[in-house]
Amino acid sequence: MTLDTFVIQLTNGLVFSLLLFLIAAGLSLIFGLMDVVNLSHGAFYLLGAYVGLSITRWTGSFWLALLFSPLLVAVIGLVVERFLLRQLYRRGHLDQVLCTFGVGLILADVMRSVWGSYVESVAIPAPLDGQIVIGGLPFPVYRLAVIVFGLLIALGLWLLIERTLVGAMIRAGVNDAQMASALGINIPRLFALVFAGGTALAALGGVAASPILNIYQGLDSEILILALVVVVIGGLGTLQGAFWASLIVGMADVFGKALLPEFSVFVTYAIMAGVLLVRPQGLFRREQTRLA
Amino acid sequence: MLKVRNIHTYYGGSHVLHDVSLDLEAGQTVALLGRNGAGKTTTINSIIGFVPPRAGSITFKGATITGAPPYTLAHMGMGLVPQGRRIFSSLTVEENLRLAQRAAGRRNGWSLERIYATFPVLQERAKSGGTQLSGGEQQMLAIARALATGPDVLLLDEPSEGLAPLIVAEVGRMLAALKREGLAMLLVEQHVALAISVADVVYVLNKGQIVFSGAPAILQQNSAMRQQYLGV
Ligand SMILES: Nc1ncnc2c1ncn2[C@@H]1O[C@H](COP(=O)(O)OP(=O)(O)O)[C@@H](O)[C@H]1O
Ligand SMILES: [Mg+2]
Repeated sequence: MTLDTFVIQLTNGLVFSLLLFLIAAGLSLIFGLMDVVNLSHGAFYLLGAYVGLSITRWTGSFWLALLFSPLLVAVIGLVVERFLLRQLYRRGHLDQVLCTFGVGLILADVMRSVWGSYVESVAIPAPLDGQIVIGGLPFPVYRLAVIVFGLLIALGLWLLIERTLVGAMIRAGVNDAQMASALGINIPRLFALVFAGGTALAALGGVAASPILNIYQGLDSEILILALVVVVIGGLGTLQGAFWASLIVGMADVFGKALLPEFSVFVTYAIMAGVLLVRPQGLFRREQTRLA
Repeated sequence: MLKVRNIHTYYGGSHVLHDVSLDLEAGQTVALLGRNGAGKTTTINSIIGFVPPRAGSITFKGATITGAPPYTLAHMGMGLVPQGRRIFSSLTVEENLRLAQRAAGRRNGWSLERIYATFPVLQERAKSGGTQLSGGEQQMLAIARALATGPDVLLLDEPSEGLAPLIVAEVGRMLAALKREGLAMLLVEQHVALAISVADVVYVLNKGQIVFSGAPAILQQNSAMRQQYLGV
């Protein structure tokens, strides 16, 4: 691998990592706060991409898609949380896993009948369509924009979680939701908020990825599996964990495919197994207490 | 102010509380005593809504709260100092307090100044993570956090548990001061002397049933009963 291709792959790795972060952040917070393994998360990502595709086609504006697709998908997430998941919080993990898996399957079927089984893609929006040359190397502007956008979202989320009252409520809820409730925090509302926020982030990732990665049926489970690996490596309910683990998994995926095409999947799982051996709780897991 | 009437509480299939009733009037301190496993925490869990009773009723300020979600009780003015303290480890001391001030949405929560004046050690540790504190400091934080919600009734579950004698005495002084201010308290304790020193009324639980209720002096004179139900 020459230095040039290394730099290009590094850029691609960063792009993929930050997209992965958008998806995994919500999954990790939902898992950490609500103790729900949301297996429909990948479907919300793909739904975000498809809804974005349609909005872009109707209105001709990718930017409207980037804004409205996550909002629409968040509303669907709210409905799922309110009418399905909320009934199951007092039940075991198995019921929740079956429920979210079922929601994912239903969404996948709906997407297949609405958007068909073609491989779709979205044109790169005009102002970002092109390349800039840095140090003699051409970089696609859109990819650089995704990196900046992803970093800004990560920073915004970090400020939200670490510096605001709602963020403190979420952290308290991750530590001990029952005690947080006894202090007056409306836990059902906090769960709904985090679930909707998480699905919106996944959808945002779906739209942001659509000009560079194709959209197709089955992408939901591919993305879900990678995001689950990120959550396992990073630890439950931590944004920092999701961020660094996304970088690890995203880079491993891109460089694995470039250097060891036959073993790229293996590389990701080997890293996960290694982390699990050394730190079974993940790299950054928040301490949790669950009583009664 | 708080009336518990004939409650029966279960964990899954195991029937833990049998027909428990108790009363707490405004300004009163009621102690709930009993051996380990007697059902004291379960009584607290039933009142605060962690484990709703399957039968019986609980009223708070005249409203029926049986099975109400815990956060609504905090909004009504019920504060909890739980067994084991349950400090949020991802929050600093100050965040633990600020969160409590805001979460219950009440106006009469203790201000940070007042809390720091009462618990100077918490000011020194304001920026520390909640669980980096010593056991005694964590207990102070758990009490301060409950006061920050502005409770009219405070439920305290073994606030002296695991603390050195000097710190236990400090907790005792703190409870006496809160009582002088007119805060109603339901105090669960294994430390019988501490409980008797502040309580107006004492209840004794044994195997999920109330076996004694009355003035602390009566319990103090009845050494046979103390021996049988409290082991002291
Ligand atoms: N989460 C739980 N699940 C099942 N049984 C429990 C649970 N918590 C307590 N118990 C049982 O209920 C009984 C009363 O416990 P508890 O109320 O914690 O007693 P105390 O606070 O008086 O020590 C005990 O027999 C205990 O084993
Ligand atoms: Mg107990």
